[in-house]
Amino acid sequence: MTPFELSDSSQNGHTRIAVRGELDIATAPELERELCDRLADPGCREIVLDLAAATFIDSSGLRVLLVASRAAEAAGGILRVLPGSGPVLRAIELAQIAEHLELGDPSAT
Amino acid sequence: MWDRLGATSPRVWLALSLGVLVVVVVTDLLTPEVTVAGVAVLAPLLAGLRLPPRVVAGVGAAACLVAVLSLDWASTPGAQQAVRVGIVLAGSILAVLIALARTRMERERLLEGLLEGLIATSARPPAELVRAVARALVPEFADGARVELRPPDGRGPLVGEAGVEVPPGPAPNGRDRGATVRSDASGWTLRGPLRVADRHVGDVGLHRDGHSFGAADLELFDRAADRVALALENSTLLYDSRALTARLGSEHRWLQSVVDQMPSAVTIRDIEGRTLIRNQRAAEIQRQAAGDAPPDAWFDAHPGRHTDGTPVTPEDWPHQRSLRTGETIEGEDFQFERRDGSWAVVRVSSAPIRDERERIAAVVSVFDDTTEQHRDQRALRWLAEVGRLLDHPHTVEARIEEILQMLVAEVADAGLVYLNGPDGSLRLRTLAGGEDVAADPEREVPTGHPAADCVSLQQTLALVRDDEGAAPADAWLRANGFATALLAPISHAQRVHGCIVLATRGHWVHEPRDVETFELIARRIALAVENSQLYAEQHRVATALQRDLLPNELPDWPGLELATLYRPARGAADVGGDFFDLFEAQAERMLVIGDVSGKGVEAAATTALVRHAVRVAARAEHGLRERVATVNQAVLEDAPGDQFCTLAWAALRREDDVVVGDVACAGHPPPLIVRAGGSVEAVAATGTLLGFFKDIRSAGAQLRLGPGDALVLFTDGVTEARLPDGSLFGPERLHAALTRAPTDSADAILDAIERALDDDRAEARDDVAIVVGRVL
Repeated sequence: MTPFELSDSSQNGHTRIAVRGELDIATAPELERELCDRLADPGCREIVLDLAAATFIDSSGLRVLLVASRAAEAAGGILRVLPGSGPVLRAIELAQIAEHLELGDPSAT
Repeated sequence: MWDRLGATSPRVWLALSLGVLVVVVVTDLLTPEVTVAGVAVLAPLLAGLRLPPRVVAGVGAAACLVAVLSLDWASTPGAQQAVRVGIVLAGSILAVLIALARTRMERERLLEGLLEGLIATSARPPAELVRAVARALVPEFADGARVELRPPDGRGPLVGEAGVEVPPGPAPNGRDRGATVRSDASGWTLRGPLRVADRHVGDVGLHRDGHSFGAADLELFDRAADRVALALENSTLLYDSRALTARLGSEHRWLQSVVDQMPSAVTIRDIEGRTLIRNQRAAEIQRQAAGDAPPDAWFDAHPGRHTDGTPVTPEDWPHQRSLRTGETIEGEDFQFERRDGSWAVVRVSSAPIRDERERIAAVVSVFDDTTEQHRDQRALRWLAEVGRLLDHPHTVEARIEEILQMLVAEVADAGLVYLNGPDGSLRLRTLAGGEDVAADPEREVPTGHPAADCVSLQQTLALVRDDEGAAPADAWLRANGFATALLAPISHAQRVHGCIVLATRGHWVHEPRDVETFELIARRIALAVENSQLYAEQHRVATALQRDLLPNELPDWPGLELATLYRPARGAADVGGDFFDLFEAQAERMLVIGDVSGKGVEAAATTALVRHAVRVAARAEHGLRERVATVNQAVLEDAPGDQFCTLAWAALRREDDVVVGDVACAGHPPPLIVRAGGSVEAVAATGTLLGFFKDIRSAGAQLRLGPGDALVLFTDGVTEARLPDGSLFGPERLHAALTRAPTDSADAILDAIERALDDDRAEARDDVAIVVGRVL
């Protein structure tokens, strides 16, 4: 089991947060805090959330994606989610929320 | 007898000897016939016993003269007369020899006595001692004596003189062992070196006016010189150390006032470990430990302990190590027991003091009483540890045991925690260290028991055993072999939950600071106990709420057999938001299963809302798409926070011998159909989760179930159950389990899923809910 891990890097107002491991009820609050902190920064225009290495996402994780996307939109920014091709993509499809998220093309990054 | 004779004055002896001669002369004059010449010989012999040889020789000469004069030369034959005079002469010579031998013996004895005296008085300062030696040599051995001692530190020579002046002469050659005698106009002078272990430490000069020094004198000198030298050397060394002490004495006062000003305790000890200086603070600390015992005895009597509890041997003390090895020791902590039984901690530093030859001569120790800092640090450490341990409210009892073990390891022999049970009875709940404590956890603590007293009085009790005491507390202490016990109520805001006890088998002073810390720990435990109770209550409420949200009993639907499972997540802190509902509306049988995001009471409330909304929508609307949209609206508008829910909803109708229906899925895993023949297929329904977006998409599916076909609705708790290897149970394993499942009843199908989960030792981290509806 891959342990949960957050890594982020910022450059010219572009923030990239990569998640490894499981995004569930235990770890989602950490991601939520991180995203909130980033979104609170007025210079932050775009956040790229790379979930390609996430091995699991539950409803708590999905909720963070939805809440943060909405918050980014309200702030005039954008949260781009890279779901990869694994469990995160399947969960997004199951919940039918793809159209409410800015899903990036993983190959483009 | 000889001793008594020896004690008589020489004048008496001289009078006696001459008296004998006078008697002989008078007798001879009166009775010339009587020859008394032979009697004359007695005079020199008597004199020889006590008088100096020169005097004895004089007496002998007189005796010979008397003998010659008393002879009757006319009537006595010549040969007879010659014999008589010869006898007196021989007697006189013998007397002189006796006197010589006796004088020599006496001189040796005198010398012995003198030397004994010197050695015994070698504690006198050397300057005084050289004078004493010189005086002792005159007049027995010489008419004048001069003793010169050259101290090793290069100070000027110490000289002692007595009698006539000893003329200056060439200094004896240090390499020559023996003495030399020289004569000049004034007389004879003997000079010889004083040596200690081949070291030439001084010289002795003796002078005689009248006669020379004989071989016997030189021999005596050689014998005596070594011992005189040794005595003088002893005196010099002693004098040196006394001079040091005296110097210290003069410096002592200001040094003492300097160290007295120092806030730390300071002692200076000599190489033997004897205290030379200690300041007031040091005296104070040592008094705490040893009362009025001499300061040097303190370390032996109170060796103390290292802070890890191991005993300190006297050699371990820093000042001893500094003296032994010359090392400098900085800030080592030691515990020692004060006379009142309490423990103190001192932080000791020590460094050697070296003399000009770099030899260790003394040691200075500086120590501080760090008991209070130690207590503070310990209290902080304990409280931090207690805080950390009590962070997990649902394991509070196990944590209390860890706290007890920590406290017992450091300060007590046994720790006990009594807690009130739900029925209000006080019982022993946790025990640490006191394996032989006579306590029965099954039994309620009786009235009068110290724990009961502590709880009912809600105050800290410090018990010290009174062996004669009749109080129940004394009996309890005796029964458990405790000497002391400290009990603090586990209480917070007037609510008392029990008490915590620390007991010792030996003497223990309950320091106010420690008691305070202990009470803080008890209060912290009280908070944790309350949190744990609140948590348990909240869990109970949420679970009850959720159970109420599930159908009390399954509807009895002809032609459709139902089986359901709801399994809360094992070990999870909060209840989850899974639910299902089975009801009829508008001639349709509704099978609904859902999952509300989040946990706890809030999720339970949203679940109630969703369930209610589902029922209202089922009756108010036609078509699942509309119904789901209505539920979405309700959750969006009324659910607290950003909660959402997923839903799988089947609306079934009976058509002849088959069942037809619609299925809608809103962000939920699509239900599975288990055909009577064993094949398994997923219902192809998809849709957006509910409660987050105003507009949702929903692609429903239609289904048709024949006799023996079953519809299985489930929550993601099933597929997301975790296997021991970390992988998920997953849709594939569920699919396989259902494929293998016997299809002869709804229960059989449900059992198959449960068994598959159990066989794979899958651990659900979320709630698991399953609904199976099978067409009969």
